[in-house]
Amino acid sequence: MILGRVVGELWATRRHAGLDGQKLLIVKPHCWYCPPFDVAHLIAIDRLGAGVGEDVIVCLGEPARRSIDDEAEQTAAGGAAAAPGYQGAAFYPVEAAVMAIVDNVDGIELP
Amino acid sequence: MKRALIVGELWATRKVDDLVGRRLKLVVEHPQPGQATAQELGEAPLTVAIDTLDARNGQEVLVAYGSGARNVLLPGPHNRHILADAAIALLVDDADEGAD
Repeated sequence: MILGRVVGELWATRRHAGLDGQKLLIVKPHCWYCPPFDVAHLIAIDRLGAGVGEDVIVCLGEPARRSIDDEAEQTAAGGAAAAPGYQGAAFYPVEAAVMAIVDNVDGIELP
Repeated sequence: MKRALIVGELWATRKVDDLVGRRLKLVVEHPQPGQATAQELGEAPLTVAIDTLDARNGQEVLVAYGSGARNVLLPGPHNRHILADAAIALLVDDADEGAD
């Protein structure tokens, strides 16, 4: 996971069906890969309600994709007893999701 | 897995259910954490990892990424729904790196 700050929000009318109803945030990582580069940003889906200016933890890769399927897919399947995370979300174009909104950081100084 | 040093801790009230009761640590990746200078640590990649082992600040750890991180939190085949991509797998006691 990486630590970043929400710097904006994105809206799109025409979007992939898998992204329907998902809020999209623009997140600027505090430090990502070495060396930290100032202009870097990424877009993450947000289900926690993070606002601009808040620090968030962003999960990258496949877990982010799996995280959005649980409710939608379970209801679509009529609550069928498939293991959570195994269904259609695997095909969604998502690879970053907000997993926590940071209250407090100890150990490093954030700008 | 990568070697890393714990440099801080994070607190979050609003978080996904998978994170409830989990501690979050800030880790700096470094190939030889014991010999890292402050400058090297400042320039090294900084990531957030889930800590199930109660690591202390300054402790050297091994961080598992990707599906390995999910296996730290919930071993077994049904852990794909867990939202996590980095977790502390072990606390390093000692590393023998030979003469070089």
